[in-house]
Amino acid sequence: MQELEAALIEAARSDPEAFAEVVLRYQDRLYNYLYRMTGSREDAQDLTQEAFVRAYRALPRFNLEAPFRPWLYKIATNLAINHLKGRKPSIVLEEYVPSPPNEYSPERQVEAAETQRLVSQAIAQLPEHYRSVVLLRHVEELSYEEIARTLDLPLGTAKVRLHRARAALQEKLTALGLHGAADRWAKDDATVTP
Amino acid sequence: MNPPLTCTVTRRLLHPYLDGVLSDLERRDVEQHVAGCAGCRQAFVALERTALLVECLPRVAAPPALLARTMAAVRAEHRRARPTAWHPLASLVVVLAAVLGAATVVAASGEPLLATLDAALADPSEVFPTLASLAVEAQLSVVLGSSALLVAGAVALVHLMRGELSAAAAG
Repeated sequence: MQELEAALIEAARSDPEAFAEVVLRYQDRLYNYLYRMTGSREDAQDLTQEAFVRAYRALPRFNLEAPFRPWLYKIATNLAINHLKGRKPSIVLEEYVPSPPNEYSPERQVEAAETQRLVSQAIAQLPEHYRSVVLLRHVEELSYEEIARTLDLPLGTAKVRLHRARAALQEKLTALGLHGAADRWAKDDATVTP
Repeated sequence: MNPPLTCTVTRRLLHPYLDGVLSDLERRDVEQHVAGCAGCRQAFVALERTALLVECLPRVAAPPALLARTMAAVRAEHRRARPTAWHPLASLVVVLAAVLGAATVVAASGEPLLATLDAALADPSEVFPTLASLAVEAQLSVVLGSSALLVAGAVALVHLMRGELSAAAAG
């Protein structure tokens, strides 16, 4: 995978059309990440596009030995943080994302949608540097090392920030009454499923 | 065998435990403590639930038009960064526009322009400077490469211009 990606990126350096493959591979993930960072679909679109343009511009300087994903996420994160500067401290998601229909009862689905709304709100209320690390770990599934590279932090600092971010999120979820709701489901069946 | 972990230490280890990065020995120590400590067990369950709630959030997909939009911007960036990498035909088109502009110039200035073009045809190395200065006069900036195609095209154009100018001067 790393070899293939390095080959793609090398080709993209001199041929913008080869870069389309890179865009295809990452645009959904970047868009989703930037949407959760900014709370706005329109901003997410603009920032995703800008992230790819900047990546393309900087491609000649990119070290092919280095992992590409954290480098791209770093560009996106910096764009998001700069975009959010000077704005109100907590963003509000402009609309929540409907969950796909499933075999749960309607009551359960309503509860699930409400839970999802509250989780989204809690994330949106986190300070940006906590929000980004939670999203990078639990939505984008980056490793500690990748997170450290993305945020330009020493590994130890990145870990501590993640732990604190999770603790902060947990507090917000409790304040929003969420952990209580989760307990209720835990009584219904063995697994916790939001 | 290590002494059993304290709650303080265990609470801190819950994070790397959740992330699956503890060694086998550390993992066993944590599990041993949690098995016998309701407080730490509760703390772990809450932490795990927090992580799961985030992980289970549905993903938004990029709107279908985003790829095209992004690629248009990438291509624009490509062009912006490499202004001299013009397709040879693009240069010829610009020079042709200069020709059309120059044709109106000749009506006013006549002979000297014809002489300039004759000189250019006699010495191919003069073709580009000549065309470039004509283009400047026609208020266009032209970046000409040095490929053989461009030379051939430019020489052909000079002939064309000379033909145009002679016709214009005669008519």
